[in-house]
Amino acid sequence: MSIIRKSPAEKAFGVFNTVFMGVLCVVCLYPMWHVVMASLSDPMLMFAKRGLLLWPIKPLNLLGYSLVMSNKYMVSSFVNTIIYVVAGTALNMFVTLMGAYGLSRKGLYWNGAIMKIIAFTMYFQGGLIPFYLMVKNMRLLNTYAGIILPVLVSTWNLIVMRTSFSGVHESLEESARLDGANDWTILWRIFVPLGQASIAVISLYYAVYWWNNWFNPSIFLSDRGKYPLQLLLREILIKNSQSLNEMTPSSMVGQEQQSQYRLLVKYCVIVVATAPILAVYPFLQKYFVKGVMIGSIKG
Amino acid sequence: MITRVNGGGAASAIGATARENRFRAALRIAAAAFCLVLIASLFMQYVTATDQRSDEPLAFTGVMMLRGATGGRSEGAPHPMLIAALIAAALLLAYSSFNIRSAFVPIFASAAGLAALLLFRFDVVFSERREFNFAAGSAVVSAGWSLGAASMAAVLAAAITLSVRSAYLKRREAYAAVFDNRSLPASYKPPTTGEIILRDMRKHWPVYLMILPTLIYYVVWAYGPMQGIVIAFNDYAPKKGFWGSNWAGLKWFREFFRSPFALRTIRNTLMINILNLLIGFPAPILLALMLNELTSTGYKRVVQTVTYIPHFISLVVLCGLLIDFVSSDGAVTSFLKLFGFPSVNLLGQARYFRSVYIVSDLWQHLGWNSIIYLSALASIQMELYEAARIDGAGRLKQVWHVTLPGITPTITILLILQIGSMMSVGYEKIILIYNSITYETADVVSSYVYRVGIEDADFSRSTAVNLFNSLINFSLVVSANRLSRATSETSLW
Repeated sequence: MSIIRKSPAEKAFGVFNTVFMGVLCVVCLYPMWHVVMASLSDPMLMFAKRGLLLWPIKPLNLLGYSLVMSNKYMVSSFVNTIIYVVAGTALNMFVTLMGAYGLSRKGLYWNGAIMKIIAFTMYFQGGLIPFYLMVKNMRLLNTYAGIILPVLVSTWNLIVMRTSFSGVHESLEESARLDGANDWTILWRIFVPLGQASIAVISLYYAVYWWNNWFNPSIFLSDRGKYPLQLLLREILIKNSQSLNEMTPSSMVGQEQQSQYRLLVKYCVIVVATAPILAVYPFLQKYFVKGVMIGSIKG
Repeated sequence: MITRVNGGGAASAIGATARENRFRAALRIAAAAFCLVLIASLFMQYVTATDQRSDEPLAFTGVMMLRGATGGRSEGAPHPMLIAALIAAALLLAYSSFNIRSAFVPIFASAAGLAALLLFRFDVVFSERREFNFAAGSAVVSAGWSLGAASMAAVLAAAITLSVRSAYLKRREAYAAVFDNRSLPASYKPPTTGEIILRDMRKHWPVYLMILPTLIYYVVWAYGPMQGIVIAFNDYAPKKGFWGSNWAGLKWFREFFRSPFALRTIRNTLMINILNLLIGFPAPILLALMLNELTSTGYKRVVQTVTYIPHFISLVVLCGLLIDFVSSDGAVTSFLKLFGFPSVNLLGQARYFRSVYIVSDLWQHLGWNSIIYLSALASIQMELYEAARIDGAGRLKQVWHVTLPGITPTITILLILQIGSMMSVGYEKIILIYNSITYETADVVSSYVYRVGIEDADFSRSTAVNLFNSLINFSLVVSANRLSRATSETSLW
């Protein structure tokens, strides 16, 4: 490489490119930085001086965090989200793995037709209201089941999983059968270990869905005790509703300072809700990237 | 001896194929004829209701019922089973007019149609609804029903015969190939489809149990809501149910297209997609190319990791950040103020909404969307660059003649897919950041569906608009897929 001389224009571009990428990184990170700094700032001074924020405005304080963490709905919604993520993902994976295994079997006679019928639902659905009425007619409104059951299987993930299972060599299955293994054992002892890469990716996709899920709960749930975290966040950050008032009671922060504290609480809530994802992100990055690759291969 | 058997087999196979094709053509004609009968029946008169006051039977044609031109006098929907038969007919029509080879379509459609017509007849005999009893008494309807049922049965029988026959021939050929035609006696009969399925079920019943939850899920939660589409054609009243509500025909579609919302929502949907195509689509390509030019791999990896991060911020948090940052004294607004922008709440102004929407999308997904191009770049062979260098190409020329052609297939596919989703914008982000002031530029079809359906509980109107949008989206995806297959031999299915 070093033997090849670079023209001045190419050198200039190299410098520009390096600097531009640096700026892009700053642009991507700054909003999160801003939020963290604001969440540590003094609410009165911060409210008076908005705009770009590089360091927290002193005196530093953690009052916002204590207001957020002492709110009972904040705690319950965190617990609910963990329930949705764990129970939802586990059920998703259980059904998807069994379905993908069965449907990838070449012995299943109308296998291709069944897959077509399943894939069709990716491109055409009943629509929002028929879906809502379906949940309502089954009397699943305001239940955990009403949140989880309607999204038991994701068609895309099922297809990815099935494709990965179809790649497992038939001779492996046959030799296991000669050893007396039944279909159940073959799935869990042979297919699951061999499909690990895809399984990691799609369980991650399911988990991210449950973590981010707010829309279905927003139309199906009326009991705030069952709210997932993201739905509570929507009330606080976007609707400025009752939840925000509950977090900044005038008994604790004084009546005239309520609006200042509300802003502080919003920043703290964002940090609390985003920190877990960003903490695990570096470890999971390669699986996410792999997921993009798997998804780009025809199912 | 052996050659004779072989030759005879080949000749009969060719004869069978020709017969099969003739048969297939006949089946197509039968299916089309049946559909024409059904379409003609739309212009016949049905006795569908009794006049409330005089207790006289009221007669409407099928077309009048579809248009909802019954002046609100029709008490109920056309019989659901008649609608089912109509859908089956549409499937058969599709089968006979497109080059669909699968025997599954005519078998499924004619079986469903026949079942629907039989159930209709059965229901009419015991029906409490007088209008259907009147209708059943009329000679025209009776004749139409018999004709429909008979032709459905004929199509079903023909399709099954065809598929069984061709499966049998294929299987026999396969067995013949395995046994090299020698040890296979002429009287040998390969197992029938039914035998194969039953044998497989008996041997592998746990597998059938394992796919059961998936199948139930799709029947209940993916296809179940589809029956709710019928409320787009009636005045849905929860007490009367999906099928029992008063028939409204195309009223909701008509009202939507006559309202100012149609133009506004369609325009906004298209505008957001066009802007996205112009800005959101090329940006990741550019980023991938620029990342590719970085000489330090460590720095490159850092930039990648950092630019992926915004993708992992949840939508609600992103919208919360956005609302705060573009408020009249937010971080972004005060930054823009340095360049002479007014300090106003950007999301409180209709004219800034699209920019805010597109730029925030770009911020969130720019890095992530570049992954696919980066992997395409990584698969370009280094020899090509070396050859270009030897030919005296500078960096720019290398990018133009080696890199870009290398990722063109990826770009083409993604572009075609993007065009396939031209009429869809997800409602989730829109409904989080729009408000009544910005409806003018922010309200897209899906957010209108949400607002009318969930907030105003105007179920039928919302479903009608939704159906219109889904049908357009579906046909766009289908055409995009065809285009993709034609140009790049890559397709979604």
